[in-house]
Amino acid sequence: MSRLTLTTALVAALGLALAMGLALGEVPLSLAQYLDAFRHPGSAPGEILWALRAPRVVAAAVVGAALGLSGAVMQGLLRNPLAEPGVLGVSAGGGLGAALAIAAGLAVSPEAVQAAALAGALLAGLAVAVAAARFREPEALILFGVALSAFGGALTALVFNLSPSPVSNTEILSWLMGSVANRDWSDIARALLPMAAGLGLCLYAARALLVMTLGEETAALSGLPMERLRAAAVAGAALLTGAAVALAGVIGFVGLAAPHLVRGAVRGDPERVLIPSALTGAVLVVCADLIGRIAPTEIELKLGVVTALFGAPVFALVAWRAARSWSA
Amino acid sequence: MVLALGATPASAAQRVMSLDQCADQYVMALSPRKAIVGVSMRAGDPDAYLHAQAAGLPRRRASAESILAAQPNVVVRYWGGDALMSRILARRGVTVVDLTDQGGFDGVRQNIRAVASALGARARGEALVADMDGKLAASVGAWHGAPGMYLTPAGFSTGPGTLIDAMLRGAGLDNRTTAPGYVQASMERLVIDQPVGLVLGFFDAYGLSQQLWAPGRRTFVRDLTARRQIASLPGAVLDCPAWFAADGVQAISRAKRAR
Repeated sequence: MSRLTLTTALVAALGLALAMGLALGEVPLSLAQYLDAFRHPGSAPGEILWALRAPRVVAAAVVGAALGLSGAVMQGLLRNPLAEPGVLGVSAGGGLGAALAIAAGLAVSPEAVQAAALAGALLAGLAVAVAAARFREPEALILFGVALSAFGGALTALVFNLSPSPVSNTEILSWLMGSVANRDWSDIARALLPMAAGLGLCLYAARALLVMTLGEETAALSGLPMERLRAAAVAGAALLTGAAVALAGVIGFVGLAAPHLVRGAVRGDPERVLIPSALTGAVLVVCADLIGRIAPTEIELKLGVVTALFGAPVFALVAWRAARSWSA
Repeated sequence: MVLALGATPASAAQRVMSLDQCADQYVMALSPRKAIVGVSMRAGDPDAYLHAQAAGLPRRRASAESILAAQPNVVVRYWGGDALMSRILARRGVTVVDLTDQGGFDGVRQNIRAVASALGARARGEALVADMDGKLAASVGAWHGAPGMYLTPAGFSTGPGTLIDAMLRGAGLDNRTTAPGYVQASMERLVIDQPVGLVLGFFDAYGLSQQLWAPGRRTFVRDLTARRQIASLPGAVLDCPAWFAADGVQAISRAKRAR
């Protein structure tokens, strides 16, 4: 499949997903109410479409794109099909930052929680960048990321453990399950700056990903500034993941699944898979959010729950295939 | 089926909605029934204090979309929704009353008055406060400082800074759990201290035997709770910082007088 065909198909799928995310929701609207929403944005149907659903679907698309791109970069950088944004520990850092902010009584200020999550993610990202500069081997970086992730998870559990109030524990848990509900344009705008920086760094580092598949020694002889490109890839993935976590909480499996869904279409090229992965991630998260909204449950399903429910089987499939290739 | 936006019968002046089971109790107690355009999905569950009154009221999800569709002008919440949702509602002129996790009955009075004020129901609010204060006054000091402790089936207890601590003290018990907030009870301390009175909470919802990993699986805890239990409070009076916490205080004090 040509790059243009693939991109066009994914952009069309994203457009369809966004339209469905806008049109469908918890409250069914009649044709007259849709028309009313377009003619009178301040009407009740207009409020539902433009003030609630529109920023929500855009937030879902932005988060999904960031996670999909970050996952593709991680899998290329680490040359590991099981790598995903969470493997670096950046998601765990963001989760810890948010948990600390909520436990400190800052839940009433969404901006403060978002800032704390971003700060936690960036601190974790900084630690990973230091490790990436020190160790070339992808296995070392994976191990460091797993340790960092476990440490962040343990500290978050400690916040739960020491919290004097079940109410704040509920708020932390709710945040950690991930959601784009009630996000508005200002929340999205705050996430866009680090995401744009992350996108720039990832695109800058993209040319190194294909060379890296040839091995460290060949890559070193390629003439490319590999150290700088590797650091840019790590920092870019960390920024994208951190901003996504700050905006929507911890959303698992999208970064893992999205690159795998399009890798075959680009013949495994780790550079060409980046943008399709971002688009696929956006489609996945918009659809997952829609499922969470319209599922006939008493309580809305959290986004992280839906993505994990669908992503876990994909993860199992990837692991299955990887195991088969090892034993072959 | 297309939902008719704002078609739920309600007075033009006041349209009230509650987002969780705790807020439901405040709204059902303080608002005229015809003004209630939505209660939470769990309003009719047996562990809700006023669950019988929820029959016939529209149940709604605690989501911004559901709330805007119901077009309330006052929303009451405790754990339902979040700060982001409150921000959306406030920007649209909806008054959001946040019930707070109170560490004592002064805080409950504040909660009652805040909701009553937002609903224009000050007289009803003061009546609730007076009823609560009457029960508290009738219960004060019943246990004369005897050591007591709160225990849930999962082995949690509560110390200073919680409403349950205030309930124990309100009935004259000296709460032996001194760590602030909600804490895992020390089984060793329980055995050594042998508090005179164990106030059990939520045992109506969960039997000790059902908590396989909780202290209830230990024989000595089962024996102790059987011997030392002075009151078993239902979840309905415990899971919300509201006036009916005084019912719990009353139950604890009556247990002393029944001896």
